[in-house]
Amino acid sequence: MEGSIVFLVIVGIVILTVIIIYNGIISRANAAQRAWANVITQERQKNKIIPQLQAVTDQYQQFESGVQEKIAALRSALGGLNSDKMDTGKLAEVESATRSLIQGMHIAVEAYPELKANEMFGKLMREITEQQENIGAAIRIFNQNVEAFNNGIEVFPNSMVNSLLNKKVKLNTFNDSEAEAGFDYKPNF
Amino acid sequence: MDKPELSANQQLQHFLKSLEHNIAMARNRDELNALLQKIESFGRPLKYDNSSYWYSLLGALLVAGISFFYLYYNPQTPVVMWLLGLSGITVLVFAILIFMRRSKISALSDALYLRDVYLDNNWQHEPFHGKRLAAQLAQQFNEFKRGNHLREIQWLVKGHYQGLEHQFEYHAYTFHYVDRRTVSTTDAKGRHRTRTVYDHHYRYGLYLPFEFVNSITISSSWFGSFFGSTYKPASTEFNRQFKVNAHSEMAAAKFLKPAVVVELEDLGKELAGLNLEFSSLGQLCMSFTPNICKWQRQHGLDEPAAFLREIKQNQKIPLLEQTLQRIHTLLRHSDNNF
Repeated sequence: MEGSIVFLVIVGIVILTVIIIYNGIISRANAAQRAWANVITQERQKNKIIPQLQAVTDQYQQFESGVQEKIAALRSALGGLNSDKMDTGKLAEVESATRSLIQGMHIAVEAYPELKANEMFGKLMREITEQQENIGAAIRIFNQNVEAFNNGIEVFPNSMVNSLLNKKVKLNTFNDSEAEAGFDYKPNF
Repeated sequence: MDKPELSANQQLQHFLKSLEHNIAMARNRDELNALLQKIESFGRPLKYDNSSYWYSLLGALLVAGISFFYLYYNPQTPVVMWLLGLSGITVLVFAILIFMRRSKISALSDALYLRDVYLDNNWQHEPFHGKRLAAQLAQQFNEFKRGNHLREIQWLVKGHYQGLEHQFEYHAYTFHYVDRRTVSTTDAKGRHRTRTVYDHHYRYGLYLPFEFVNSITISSSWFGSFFGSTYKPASTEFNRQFKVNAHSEMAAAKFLKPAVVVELEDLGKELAGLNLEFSSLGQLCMSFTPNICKWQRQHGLDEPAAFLREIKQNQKIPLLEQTLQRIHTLLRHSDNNF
């Protein structure tokens, strides 16, 4: 009698542990998904300032063409983002287009001092810098959540529960290949 | 008639008196620098020559020792008993005098160093009544509702921070609170006894105007989580560290942009027990366990060259500066650029 009670208690504990691990994996996967959607939301914030940026650049015909091209490239890259599908390659394209636009804006400011004095241009520069900070932060949060998720499916006994029940695969963190290209060091994992 | 020449100790005494007055009057860096120059030109360490006191003290000690031994073998000798008493008192008086002279130099060094710290950090003294101020702050912030026996602000300073985009006035404080509790014990004979225990706690923080956000609490402990809806941003790390309560989820979501979230994650790692309360009146109270407004004097006026070198360095308090920068970042991300 006592033996069967002990057996039932052990079975109960095992089932409870499996449920906790199973739910933990699901919530970590959802957190990673939400963080990804957050990155995309932040990237799409750029759409809000593009019309204003175009309006300012229209006033300065000479530098308009270079920067306008970069704005168009950014707009097209933003169109490729999908909040439901974690495509870090597309994200890298948007980041590259943004970097190129900011570079173009800095060059324009150097070439056209009157642009520096333009109040709206200053505000736009500030806004785009803050947006980039937010995107950087959103990517950091995404990578943190991905790390927590990957740990959650790889450590034992979670790996066993995952292979039997959740069947989730490891997620890729976001790596900025352009920034990485500047380093000679390549991690060997 | 010529004035009699002052002894080295008298000169020093006069100098210290004027120094004490001037330290209290120094309102800016120029006045403090003038003071430092005066100390430099004094030409010798600001140290009393206590040799005469020491000789007197040792002489009295010797008399006391001899009297003691004499009384040991001839206990009933009233004159020697008087002598022992008088020499004992003399030893005590000279020891106190030496101690007072040393403390005076040390107190002046402290005052000068403190003045320098205040000037380097753009701080101003602000008169306050500890218990009354704590009660006023408790009307806006739950932080000051800690402690069931005593709540008081023990230290307060007003400062100014100039950032690239925003500038703000802030108050840094030390909050002391006491929890009273009754402890019951039973001894070996089964007798019950109760006694009252007072637990003293200290928390530190900053409060300042923060007009862009109101009625949000971000707390690493249960404190402050009394109202409104809860909100969880996307970061699991942030949610592990903090709980967010706000008058509306929308207000919290608007404030907790990713850049703000990671800033707070980092801040939470730097400052244990971090709570942020944005009151309904547009004030922020950031409170924590470590004392970030700490400073430590290395040298004193008794070694003027080293002390002046130390004072001439910038005494900005690194952790306070870093925290103010982070507040500036929160402001930058909460304002509207257009």
